[in-house]
Amino acid sequence: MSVRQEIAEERFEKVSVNWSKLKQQTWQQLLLRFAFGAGIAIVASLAGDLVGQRFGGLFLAFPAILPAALTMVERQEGEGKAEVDAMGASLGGLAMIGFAVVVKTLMPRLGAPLAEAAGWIVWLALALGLFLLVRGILQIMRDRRDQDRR
Amino acid sequence: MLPKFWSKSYSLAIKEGFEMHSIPWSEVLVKSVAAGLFVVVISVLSTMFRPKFFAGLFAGAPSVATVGLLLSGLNQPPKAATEAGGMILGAVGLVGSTVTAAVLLPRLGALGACGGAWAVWGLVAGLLYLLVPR
Repeated sequence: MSVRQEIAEERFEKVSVNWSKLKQQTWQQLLLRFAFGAGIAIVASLAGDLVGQRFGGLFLAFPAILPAALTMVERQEGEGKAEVDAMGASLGGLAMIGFAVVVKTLMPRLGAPLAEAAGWIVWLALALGLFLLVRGILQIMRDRRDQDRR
Repeated sequence: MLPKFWSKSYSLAIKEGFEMHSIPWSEVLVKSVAAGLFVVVISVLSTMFRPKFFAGLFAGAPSVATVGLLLSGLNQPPKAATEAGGMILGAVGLVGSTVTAAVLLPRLGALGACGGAWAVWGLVAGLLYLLVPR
């Protein structure tokens, strides 16, 4: 099976949690991720204070996790697997638009904790919904392709 | 309520044209440490899931935003709402950057894909910031 076929097949695996991955984290990886997150938060704060809150807000959606994730996934599992990761990240990014719209709308009325809680519920619902939708579409396409071959 | 040090502004005057700005360094420090820790938690969580297609969702999770907006919103909700407005534009850029990363990764490797993704994010977010009215 080619790498591309492996990637396509992996998409249809059942979602599972591998707890042993917790022990496999290295300090170097954790520090890199911390540095990305902390660095972007500093840039967002300074941009907001110096230029304006709307400009600073742009950086709250900076792809902070993506580069670290791509680099580490590539090292561990090969470029193909990382590509799949990036596709999932696109769906997560779409869900992030929903998070930001909800927080912007509810923040002045409900305050920060409730607005953020609502935002996270919307993010989870959208991310899961989009994941299931896209996977379902891919599955239908795969089934049709298989039928055509027969 | 927030501890007293939060409201104390360790100001640094920065000349930007004829305007003087005051930077609350204690707020910046708390935000950056909290955001860094939250990013670590979310990214470790993402590595535990299979398939990678599902795990990738967490790379689009609002990790830095959660901390930034919460800490801004506790003191000044309207300020945080304005930040969230900017975040909507940045999130559109994020989608563009992840699509770019997916396309470039097999061709350029992780470093090239990251560079391309960041460039596309800056371009999309910057253009939207300039073109979309408040």
